[in-house]
Amino acid sequence: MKKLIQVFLVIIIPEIVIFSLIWFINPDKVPMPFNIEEIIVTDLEKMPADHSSFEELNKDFKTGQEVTEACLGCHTGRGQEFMKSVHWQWLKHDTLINGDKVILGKKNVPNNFCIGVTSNMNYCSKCHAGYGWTDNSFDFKNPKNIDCLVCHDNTRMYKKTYQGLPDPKVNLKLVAQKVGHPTKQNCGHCHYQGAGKDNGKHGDLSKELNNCERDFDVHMNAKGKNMSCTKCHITQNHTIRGNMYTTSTSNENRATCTECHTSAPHKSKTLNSHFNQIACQTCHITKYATDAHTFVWWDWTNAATKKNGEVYADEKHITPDSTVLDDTKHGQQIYVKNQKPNYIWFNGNAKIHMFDDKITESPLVMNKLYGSYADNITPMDPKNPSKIFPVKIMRGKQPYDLKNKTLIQVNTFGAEGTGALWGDWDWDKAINNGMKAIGMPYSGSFGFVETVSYWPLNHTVTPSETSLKCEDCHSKHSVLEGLNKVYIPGRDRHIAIEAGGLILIILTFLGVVGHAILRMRAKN
Amino acid sequence: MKRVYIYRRFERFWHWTQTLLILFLALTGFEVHGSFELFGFNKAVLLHNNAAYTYMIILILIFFWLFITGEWRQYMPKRQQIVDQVEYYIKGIFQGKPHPTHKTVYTKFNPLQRAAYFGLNFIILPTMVATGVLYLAFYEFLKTGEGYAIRPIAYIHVIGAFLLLTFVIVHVYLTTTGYKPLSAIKAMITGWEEMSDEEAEIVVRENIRMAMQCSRREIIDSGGDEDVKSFDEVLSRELSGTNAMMIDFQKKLLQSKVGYFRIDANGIYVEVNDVWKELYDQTGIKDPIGKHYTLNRSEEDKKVVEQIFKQVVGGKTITGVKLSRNTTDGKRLHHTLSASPWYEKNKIVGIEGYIIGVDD
Ligand code: HEM
Repeated sequence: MKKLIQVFLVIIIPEIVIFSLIWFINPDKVPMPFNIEEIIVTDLEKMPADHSSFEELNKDFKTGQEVTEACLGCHTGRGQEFMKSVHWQWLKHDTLINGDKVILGKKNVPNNFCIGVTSNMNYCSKCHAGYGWTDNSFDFKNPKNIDCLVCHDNTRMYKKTYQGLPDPKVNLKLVAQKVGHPTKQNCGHCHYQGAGKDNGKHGDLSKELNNCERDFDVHMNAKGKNMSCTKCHITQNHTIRGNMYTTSTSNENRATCTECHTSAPHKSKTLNSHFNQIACQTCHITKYATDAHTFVWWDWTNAATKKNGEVYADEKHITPDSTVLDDTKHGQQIYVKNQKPNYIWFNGNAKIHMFDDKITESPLVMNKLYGSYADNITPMDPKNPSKIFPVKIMRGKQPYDLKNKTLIQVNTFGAEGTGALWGDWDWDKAINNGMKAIGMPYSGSFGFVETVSYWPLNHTVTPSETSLKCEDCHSKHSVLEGLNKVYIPGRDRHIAIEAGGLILIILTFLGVVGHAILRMRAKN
Repeated sequence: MKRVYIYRRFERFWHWTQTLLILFLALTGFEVHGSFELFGFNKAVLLHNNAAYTYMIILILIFFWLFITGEWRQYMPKRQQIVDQVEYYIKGIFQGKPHPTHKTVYTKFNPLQRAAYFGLNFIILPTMVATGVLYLAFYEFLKTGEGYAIRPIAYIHVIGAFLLLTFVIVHVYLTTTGYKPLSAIKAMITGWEEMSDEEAEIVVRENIRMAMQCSRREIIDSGGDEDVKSFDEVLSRELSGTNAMMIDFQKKLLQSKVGYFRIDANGIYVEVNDVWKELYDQTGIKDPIGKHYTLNRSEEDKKVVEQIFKQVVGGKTITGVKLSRNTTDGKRLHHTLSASPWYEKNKIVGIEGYIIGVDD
């Protein structure tokens, strides 16, 4: 009895205590820096003044320019301010990681969708916040050409058409009287429509955001905070925060999660400790293009070819979620739905391949996103160490100058007889037009180069319930498949250690069993 | 069969805590490693971390104890008899030969165990702790821009985990090679190990010899004015694993059915314990206090005990001398005797010792 009590006191009770502590104590738990429910989204939706009462706007406007004149009549100085912005210039100053200055933007950057805007401005300026940009003669100094309405229309009736002009059907007087702060619809008018359709380019931007549920986007959830784009893309004096690394090279002026959520947003220390290696987006944006297809492939090789002398278009489903289109206009396109992101190391610095850069690789990377595992451990730029980011990858083939080894600007959009590719179906003419427009030489011979571009995913942040779970990365079926330099517990193992360890244990076990059998035999 | 006290309380406590913690760390660790799913990765990490912190605290206690008590000497590898021990495990054990070494409070481990536990306690576990701590601290370092690659650290940690598991298998198996398959495990639970009479006798005798050496050391020490250095050297050479903390040893020793006696310089009994009385019960001596040690002995025995008394009073320690005693009904009973001088203020004022019955 006394012995039993001793055993209890010395062994059993202490073990129970120790293991209860281990099981129940959770030192990982930390308070959130704030309560999500307490975040107040400041309401800017109401304009300080009711514009319908203004005499200046009580006019039957014939053109957009007339409206702009009326706007600028009161909002003096705003025109000059706006004309410095990227929405107007389609260009900005940026820096490369080595400190070199660059000027780049939609205006001069090639992409691997429609290739480039120059020589196609009749069409592309549909999304320019201005009126009448058709060619290089456009006057960027004339404030009357600013399109105020595309951003400030609150009637949702305003539409732009070719050359950036208002659709003739739009009642400009009504729209002008009902102006307000930009809403989702204003931004979406252009930004949802990259490459001409919802989700087209980005894969995470579509009109679904205008009126979505929580599990589509927690921030823009119509029944929740219903945040507009400008809540994150904070705008001051017409300078809008936010960049896309297809036309930017540095980590400047960005809209970041930490601004609201801080850099330790979880209730778990362990989760918070991922901050230095993992971008918020990686866990919280787990899929894209769930509501509409996004392009992942555009091969121009067979564009402008005809079948039996006829313009053709064949659309085929490859899988329920992916479709391939072969046609005279585009060559070959593949668009897909319900995609899982790819993941890359990225330190917020990029290099954009420009029209005058030589092509030295295939596939040609249109926007090199710098970053690596090594840069996470010993970052070149300690303020921006590489983190794992989710991206959509766009691939394709597009024309390049065989002799000059540069990408080619193609004049795609235009009527028959203008030499545009989609008018005359003649590559040489279209290339000549395009190259002349960007002021680059063309050797006369072209081929097709494979290209790839990376599209960081930043939108459609989904609820925490559907974010990545530990096992999504920390397991043999890790979604971070390609990132092999980083060691991820649960995913990675050394084959030799694993095999050696198992063999050692099996042999030991067999040895012990064998020894025991011999011992018993010897005893009998 | 006899039972001998081998493991102290704290020893048993840390042994089982360490066992459970290692198994638990292996379980949660290998789940983190992706070997199987049990608690879920999240919980496994939490449990592994909690268990790791706990283990590190326990390890600090263990090492503290090992060094305070001098027990660490028991873990220092020695070459003597290592071959015998290996031979025993691959040959002798099948032929029913006895263990080549004996387990006492002072030398708990055979040479192979010494090597294995040394490797465990002083190489593998510190490596596990070091790599584990680097694993834990990784993010803190990363935050300050002092990141390092976790891969080699994790690899070493995993190798250590496999070695630990191997150790556990062999260790558990070897515990079954004691007197009876479960003797060793019981010993670790209760502190008392079962062994054969012969083995027990050797062990107890050994324990007594050590205990006497140690108490003598303490006595000399408390006297203060004698140079104890050379004595220490002899002692540590002899024991290479002395336990300096004798806290409850005396008590435990007596519970192993050991008779204790003390005799003054004139040969008069000053003190005996109950076991002594039990052992002498049938000889008709009920209370020896105040009587001479030659009391009631045959002529032959008298010579032997006088011899012993002279030697011990002269400063020698003797162990394991076989003696007999006569019962009132003419039978002869046997016991072994160990004795050492009884010091007071550096002067020998008598002898004290232990007897163990060997008849039952
Ligand atoms: C006090 C000592 C220990 C410390 C501080 C420690 C700490 C850690 C840490 C921090 C990890 C990374 C995962 C996590 O955060 O939980 C880990 C992984 C692991 N631990 Fe331990 N651990 C210790 C002891 C042990 C022991 C004794 C074993 C096995 C017997 C073990 C087996 C493992 C295994 C297998 C892994 C997975 C390694 C991988 O796949 O990368 N650990 N340990």
